[in-house]
Amino acid sequence: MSAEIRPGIRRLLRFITPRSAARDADDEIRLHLELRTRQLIAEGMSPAAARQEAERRFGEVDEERRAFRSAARHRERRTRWRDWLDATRSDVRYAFRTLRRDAGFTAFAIAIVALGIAASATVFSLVDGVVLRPMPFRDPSRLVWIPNRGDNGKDEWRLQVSHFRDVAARSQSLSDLAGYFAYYSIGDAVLMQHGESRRLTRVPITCNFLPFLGVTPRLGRSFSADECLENGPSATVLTDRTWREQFGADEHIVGKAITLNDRAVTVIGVLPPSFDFAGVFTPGTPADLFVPYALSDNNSRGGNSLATIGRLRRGVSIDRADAELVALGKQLTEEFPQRNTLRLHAVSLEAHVNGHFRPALLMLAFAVGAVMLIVALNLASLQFARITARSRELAVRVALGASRGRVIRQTLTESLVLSCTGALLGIAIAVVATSYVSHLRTFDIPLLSRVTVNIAALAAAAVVAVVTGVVVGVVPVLQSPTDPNDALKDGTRGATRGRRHARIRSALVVSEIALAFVLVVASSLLLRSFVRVLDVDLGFRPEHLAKLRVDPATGFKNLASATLYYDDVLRRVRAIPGVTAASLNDMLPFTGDRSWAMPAEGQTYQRGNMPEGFVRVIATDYFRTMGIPMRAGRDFADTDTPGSTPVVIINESMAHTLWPDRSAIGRRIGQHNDFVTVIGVVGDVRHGALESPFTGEVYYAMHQGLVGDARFDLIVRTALPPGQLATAARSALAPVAGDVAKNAWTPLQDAIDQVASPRRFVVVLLGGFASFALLLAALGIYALISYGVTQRRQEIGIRIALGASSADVSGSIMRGTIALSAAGMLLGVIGAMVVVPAMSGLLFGVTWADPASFVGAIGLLVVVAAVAGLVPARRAARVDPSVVLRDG
Amino acid sequence: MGESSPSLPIVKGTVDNLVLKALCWTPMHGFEITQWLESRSHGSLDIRDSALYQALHRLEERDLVSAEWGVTENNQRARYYRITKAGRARLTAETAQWVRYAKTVTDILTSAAGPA
Repeated sequence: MSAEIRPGIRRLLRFITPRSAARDADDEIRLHLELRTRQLIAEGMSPAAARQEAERRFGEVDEERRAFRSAARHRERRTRWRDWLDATRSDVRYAFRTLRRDAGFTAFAIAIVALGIAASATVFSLVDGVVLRPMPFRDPSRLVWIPNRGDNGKDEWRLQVSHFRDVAARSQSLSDLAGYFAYYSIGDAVLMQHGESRRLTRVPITCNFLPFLGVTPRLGRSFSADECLENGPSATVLTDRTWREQFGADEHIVGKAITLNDRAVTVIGVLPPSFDFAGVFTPGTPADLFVPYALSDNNSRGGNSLATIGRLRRGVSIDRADAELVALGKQLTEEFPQRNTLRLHAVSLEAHVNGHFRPALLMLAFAVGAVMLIVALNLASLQFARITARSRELAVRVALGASRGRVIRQTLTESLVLSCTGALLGIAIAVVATSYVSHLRTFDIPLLSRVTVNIAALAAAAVVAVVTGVVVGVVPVLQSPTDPNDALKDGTRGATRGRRHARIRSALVVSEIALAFVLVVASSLLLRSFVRVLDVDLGFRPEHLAKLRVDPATGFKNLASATLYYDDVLRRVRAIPGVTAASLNDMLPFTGDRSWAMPAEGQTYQRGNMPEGFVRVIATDYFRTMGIPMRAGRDFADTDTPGSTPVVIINESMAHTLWPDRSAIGRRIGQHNDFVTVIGVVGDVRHGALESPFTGEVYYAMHQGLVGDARFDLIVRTALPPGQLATAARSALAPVAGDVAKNAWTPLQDAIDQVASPRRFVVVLLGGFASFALLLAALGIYALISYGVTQRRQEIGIRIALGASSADVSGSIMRGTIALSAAGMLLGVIGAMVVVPAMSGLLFGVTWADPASFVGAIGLLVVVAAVAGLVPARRAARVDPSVVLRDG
Repeated sequence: MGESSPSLPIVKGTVDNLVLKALCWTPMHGFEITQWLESRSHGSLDIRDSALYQALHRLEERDLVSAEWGVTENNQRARYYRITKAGRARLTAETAQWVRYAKTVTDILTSAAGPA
């Protein structure tokens, strides 16, 4: 291909290259032949013979001439390139010299460009990693998430196994269906190794899950059909991380048996490091190994259990698949009245995974763009000031013969040197910042761990740097006078042109203030939402609460031995001095999702309208420990045993749903012959997310039965410092639960922070950008006003000499500042009204037109502008007229 | 012109060194170099004029000589070649190597034949 292009380029170059190169070659040959001929004639040859002999000796004249010409052209090109390089080198040297003379300006310019570029590159990497880059699966654009919508059309339920099988068989728009068991519990698999136990999280997946996503194990294979049968051979596939951390990256692990929950399980495969199940589906939680989930009738009885993903057939749109699934859901619901209601939908997996982060990240991208724009405006404004100050120097250079192009090239080089140096520094900061951000484990953001500074981000940063440099370098010069006479005559007094420059700079600073205003409003709205979110009534008091996972390595033979064990643990912990209350719960708020049907006795419900309640199994004294108010009835007591009447305690929402018009105490929940009696009503507690409304909750007594192989969280209300609590608990629990005592105590507040983390993430970043923007705007104001004061020193001096007081002078300066910022804020309010409504989805408890945010932003900017203007105003007031007027 | 004795074939790469040597003393234009070489070799070296120019361009390409336009005594426009610092260094090195090479070969060729 290059071979085809080259002749074209050559022709082009021949065209561009002046004739002189070829002519020079000809001249050189001609001279040689002439001198040789002359010599031969002198030796006695006839002129004709001499000429012939000269050409013979020279060789192939025509061929040589061609070679000569090409060599000459080549030389020419090289010389030009060298000239260009020399000029650029001298420009760069000159730029460095002038910039060094102006060290303050240089350092400031480089610093703001660096910060701007660092912010851009980091946020771009984030947006790219979380939103833009396709998910790490085969053909991810054809993957759809299939929710089973709840009665309210909002809740997302899972699919029952029987429904899953039928949807897979009947759907025309989906080529395949896969899923994972959504209710696996964190740390439910105890790995026994060399006499030590370790808790791992085991995710049950459908047989085809890995091939469906296009994930090939790096070692071994995926599950076989018989391993996916209900009582098939037990097999597991390890994640890359588990393989490294637990098995020392043993290359021969495939085929070996490991001990999980006292059972031997064969490792059949190890997944590649690129497969990040948790990162995509359950950010912020672990997923250590995978086991097959049987599509059996038995599992189907377990209810809506499968989180389901489908793969669109080629050429099928999501809308078509959605329409088909909606119809299929209705059809299956009618056909199988004994099964759960099915309200199927199809949404793109991409949107499901990062859909709710997209607006936040786009918001950040906008913010970063605005910050970069402010940086550029600020630089442009400063360059304007410098160019104005240097206009005489530039004019002298033009008068001395420098072309306008040459002058532009000079200032362009200067600003490119600035922006590129800034960009280099910025990229270095971005690399550090990005790796820091991607290693933050406290944020529940999908795919965060795969965020890296990539070529695209760096390229984007470089482009931003160059564009900034060009704009900042060229525009001010284009505004400078074409006629050097103008500038030279103009003198120090800076007449019309100076004023025009001041106007342009004012416009730049006004734009900066406007942009900063929009950012401040946006971040204050987010901050207020965040505060509202943190302020929501949790329904319990998290302060002074700490939790410890109680997960004995060996299972229990029966309910009696389990309750004996847990009672013993509770008794010992309650006896620790400083512990005011302690209890157990198998599913604390924000840690899980488990709802059961809760029909009131004797009530018939239409299908799909069955009330649901969030299920928790607790020990006695739970409500006092958590600080959940008891509204009516009583707490569980030791007298509630397996032999006595089965009892439950429900929350107010549940009570209101089941018996809106009468007291719930003494009434029963259940159907057929399976009833529980309500003995108490307690306050509502948040569970899924801080922003979600209260829903029904039902508490069961631990002594009357456990759910599954229940593991509990021990919660303790205590004022003891964490270290002291851990030490005391270790010695208290050592005799009965030595393996449990090793687990770490965590404040309950951590779980709440985790839920609020994506919001905090955006608030922190946007707040940072807004502060930076504000700082830049302040510096812009300061630089402009301060420059104006310097320019007008004589005028000010005269006014003071004529009797103006220092208050008059500084007052007039301050009025200028306020006018400037008022104009900026007016523009900012308009800008905010355009931009901010787009972020409504990110707000909680405030509307985008929140007056407090707008008024607050105005107040903040007025203060910032006043501070920025005050320094030059005071300088103006101190002008000594005698000095100024004498100096001229 | 040495028509009586046959011209010596030129060893490859030697022209470059000869040209450098020629320029060692003073800058010259192409024809001056030819003349210098002819007079020094008494016409016994068979160097095509074109080969000389090729050598010059090669040397220029490698920055061993530099060139600029000047005027001859007869007021003709001519391209003058001048040896560069790098060219001088190269000449010294090449000369030393050549002398060693020639001496070794000469020694062997002129020694008495016999076992080593």
